[in-house]
Amino acid sequence: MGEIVKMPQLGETVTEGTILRWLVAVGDEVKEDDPILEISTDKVDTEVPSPFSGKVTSLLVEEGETVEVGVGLMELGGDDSIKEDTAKVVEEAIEVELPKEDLTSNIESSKTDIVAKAPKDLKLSPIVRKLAGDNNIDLTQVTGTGKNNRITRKDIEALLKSEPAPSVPEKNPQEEKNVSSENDKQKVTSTGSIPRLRKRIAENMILSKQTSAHVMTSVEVDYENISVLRNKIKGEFKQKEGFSLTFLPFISVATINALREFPVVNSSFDLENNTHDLHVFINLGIAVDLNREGLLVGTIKDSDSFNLRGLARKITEVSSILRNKDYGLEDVTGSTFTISNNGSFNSFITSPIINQPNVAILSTESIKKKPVVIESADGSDSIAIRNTGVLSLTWDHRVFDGSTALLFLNSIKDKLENHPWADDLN
Amino acid sequence: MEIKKIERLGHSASLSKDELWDIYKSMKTQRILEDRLLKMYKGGQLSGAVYPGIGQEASMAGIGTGMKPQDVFGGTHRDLGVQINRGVTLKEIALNFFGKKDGPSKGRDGNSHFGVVDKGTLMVVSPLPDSAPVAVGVALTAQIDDNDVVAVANCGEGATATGTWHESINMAGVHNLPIIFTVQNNQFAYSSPNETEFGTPNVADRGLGYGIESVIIDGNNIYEVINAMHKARDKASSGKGPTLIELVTFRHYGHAGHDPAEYVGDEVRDFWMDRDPVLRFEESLSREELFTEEDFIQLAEKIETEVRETLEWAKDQEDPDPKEEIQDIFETRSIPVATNDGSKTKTMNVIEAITNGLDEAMDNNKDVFMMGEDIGAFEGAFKATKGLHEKYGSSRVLDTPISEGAFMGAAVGAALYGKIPIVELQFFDFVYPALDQITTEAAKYFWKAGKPVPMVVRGPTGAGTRSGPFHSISPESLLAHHPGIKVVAPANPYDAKGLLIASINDPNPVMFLEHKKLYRKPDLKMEVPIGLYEVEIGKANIVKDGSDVTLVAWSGMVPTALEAAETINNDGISVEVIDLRSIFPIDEETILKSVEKTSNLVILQEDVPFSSIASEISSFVADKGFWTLDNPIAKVTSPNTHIPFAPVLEDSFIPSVENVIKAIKELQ
Repeated sequence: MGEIVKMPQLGETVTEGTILRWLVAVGDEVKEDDPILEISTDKVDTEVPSPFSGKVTSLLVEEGETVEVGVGLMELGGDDSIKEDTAKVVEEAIEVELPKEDLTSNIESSKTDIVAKAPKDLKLSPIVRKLAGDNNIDLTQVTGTGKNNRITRKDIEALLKSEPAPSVPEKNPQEEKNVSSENDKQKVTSTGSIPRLRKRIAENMILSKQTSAHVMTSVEVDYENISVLRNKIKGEFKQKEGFSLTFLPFISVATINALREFPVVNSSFDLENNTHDLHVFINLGIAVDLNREGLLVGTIKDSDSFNLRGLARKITEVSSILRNKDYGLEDVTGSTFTISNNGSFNSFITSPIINQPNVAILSTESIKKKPVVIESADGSDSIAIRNTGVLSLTWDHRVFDGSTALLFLNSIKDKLENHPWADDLN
Repeated sequence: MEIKKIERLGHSASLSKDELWDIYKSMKTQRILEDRLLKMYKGGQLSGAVYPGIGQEASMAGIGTGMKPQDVFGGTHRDLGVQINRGVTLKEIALNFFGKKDGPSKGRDGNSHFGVVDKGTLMVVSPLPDSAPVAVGVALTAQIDDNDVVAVANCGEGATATGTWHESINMAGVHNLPIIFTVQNNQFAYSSPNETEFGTPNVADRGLGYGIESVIIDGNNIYEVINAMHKARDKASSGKGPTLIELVTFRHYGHAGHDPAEYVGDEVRDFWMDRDPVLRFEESLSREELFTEEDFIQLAEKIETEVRETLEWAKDQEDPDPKEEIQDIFETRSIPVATNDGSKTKTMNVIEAITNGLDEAMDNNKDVFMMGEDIGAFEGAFKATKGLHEKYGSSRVLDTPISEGAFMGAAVGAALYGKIPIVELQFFDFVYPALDQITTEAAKYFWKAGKPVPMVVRGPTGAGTRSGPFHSISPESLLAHHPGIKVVAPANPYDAKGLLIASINDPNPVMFLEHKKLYRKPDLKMEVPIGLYEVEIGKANIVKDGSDVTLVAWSGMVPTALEAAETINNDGISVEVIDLRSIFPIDEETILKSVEKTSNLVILQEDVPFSSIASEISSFVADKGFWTLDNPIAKVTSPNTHIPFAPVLEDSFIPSVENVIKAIKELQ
């Protein structure tokens, strides 16, 4: 038996990956560290270097297939003669419940009788797996009558009684959808299967909603001072830096300083494992829209080490590499607090979903001129036109309460309105 | 050094020259052998340990000399001198020290931890004085059979502080048994001097408390030892009961080869070296002009050569085969199975079936006898021995003092010497003080000493009778954990009698668990055959056929299992109920076959769950029946706590029909 190259875990939260392209073929000699395939995971596409040297004796997964971390991808230095069978079995069989490593070892010991075609995530008992394998039953076609629609031994036996020779039908779900609908009003235009990024975003959003106790709180901020400063220097800034100075760097600096005052907002909370970690570093996450094809959070590590200008550069840089899909894993993981800049799409108030495992997310809303009542020092009121906008914070009520959320938000507001920003730019 | 002289008086004055030379030879052989073994141990040529008894040769040879060939000696690891004197050979000793296949313990125990039962020395074990109650059992057998066998229960003074010793000597006193308790007081229990071991001035002072004549003698004076033993043996043999002999002596070395014995002061050592038993004997023999210095030297050279040659020879003998390691846990049964055409029956409940089984077994075989607390004229706490004392008398339905350790060990001794003892524990909760005898002696005898121990321990188990935490345990997992003992637990009258007869006919120790709630349960009454028959040990019984779920239960839980199965049948769930009957050996085959059919397994047990029989069944089904399962294995047990008294608490402690139904419904 040869060495098995397994699906690597590229990042703590990554659980599966898609094989984009094989860079080697059966029969190739591979040296340690040679790139062998390209994979695409949750957030990053990358080449996988070979952990061993040897001759490729079989490729265990097809291009385009998505497999869990730890699953065998290819075999080096194995027995050539069995590779056809091995590949074939893998192609036909989608293992259920058992980790993929076990699938590999089963194949190697020729115990192919216990694998059967079945949808993922089904809870199947040993006897059901065995019967399905022995009789080549497509478990996607079996209706479970057990608890939570689990397929029981009796369900299989009933099927075997009614269908003496069951087989695994080959179906194209897309075709079926297009032709099966007889009712025009229910006619749909299929976009095919859901893209991986969209699917992952969907899962993360649901996970976050199920994990945190979301509460949204907002304050209104007077941006007039910053607006005046910005108007004064933006021409010069653009010329010098090569990009425009927006409100976001100001808000980011104010947020970072407020996070220092309220470390609980810059934390991770794990009720299940009974842990609450206050992060020493502030890694600011910036949500970046990928031209409406998805949303990624770019991470600025140690963001509290940058000044206003430095942070402005960093934000621009992160947005650019994310949009150009030119990022590495470290660019999209490890944020401790996230800002979602919804104001750029002209929002009024947003209630964003927390980026797990953060405990809060700040939404910056559109900044517009508004008539504002100004109270002068002598107590007299007057109406002025000021640049104002809302800052919304979605926070996790499991971790702290409204008082903290509002003190934190008002700390940002206070800094934005009263900090001598001009000094920061000199 | 001036030797304190000894005089040949009394019985020893009648010994012939040849007899004296044989005694001297056995003492000298012990000294040279142990000296050699100690040197080899210290030189790294011997694994394990050595426990030299050098300095105690007169005590050991004297004890041996005072015994007749048919007598039985139960001693300790420091009794090689007695073993040599009784005819155990240098080869046997050497093979055991090297852990060889053909040694007395087949390599299963080392150094001086062995006995040769056929030569009248009981198996030596480490917990001391565990052979004392076994010797009591030998004496009990001798008393029943009136065969002029006398038992000797020997230990050091340290071991007399144990409950085992006190229980043994008390039981011997109560029954006036033909036994001699010898205590070689060699001044130190490992490193502890006398004053830290007992509160009386002498060990022998305690004999009075047990109604036993006690003497203190110079254990380094061979003639005194022979005389005391001679007198004690005559007394025991003539039915006048036991004697306690304290032999005051001294061991020249430490407790074991590694122990330099620095705790012995110079004054004490000098006192005793003047009284070296071998030198004193030599001086006396020379003084009487029976033997010369030259005779002694020649003999010593001869023994030295023989010892060296034997040890060299033993080293090269065959080692035990690891492949045979699991052999000899149980003796194979040779007597035929009792059968019965069932033509004559009688309606009985469980306790009646047990009493009937005991009666028929005793009637059938005069070697079957019973021991226990209040089982005689009182007929037992639960009346299991009803009518038996009247029919068979006190010698076969024997009342014992409250000393579970002593009478359990006595059962081992009786079983070794031809009896089939049935011990009644008044409640199985009281097995704890007897566990040492069950596991150290009964369970290991056949494995280590090659002698089967056919005995039955029976008594009431289980909760549900408001008897509280100390009269209610289910001890099956506690007992079955130990290799070498069988455990059965019947749940109806037919099985109770059939398993009891099978247990009595089994050549191994069998624990027979009787759930007291089943004793007189009216709906369990059934026709039971009159006459002997057996239910095979190790075979479960399918008491209700079913197709959807396998429910395994035993003992007091079988009625609960059946009721749950009947009830749930109304919901269309067909439950197969297996009555395990035998806990060990367990019937894996019947359970696996049933699970293969139903794919679902529920185990119902009254015992607490952790490390239990339910865990064991789960384990082998998960192992051997994994691919047949359609649901996780479910266990319905009592909670992991003690058995409470308050009725509401006890009722909630015991698994109920509802608990079982719930577990079954949670499957599917």
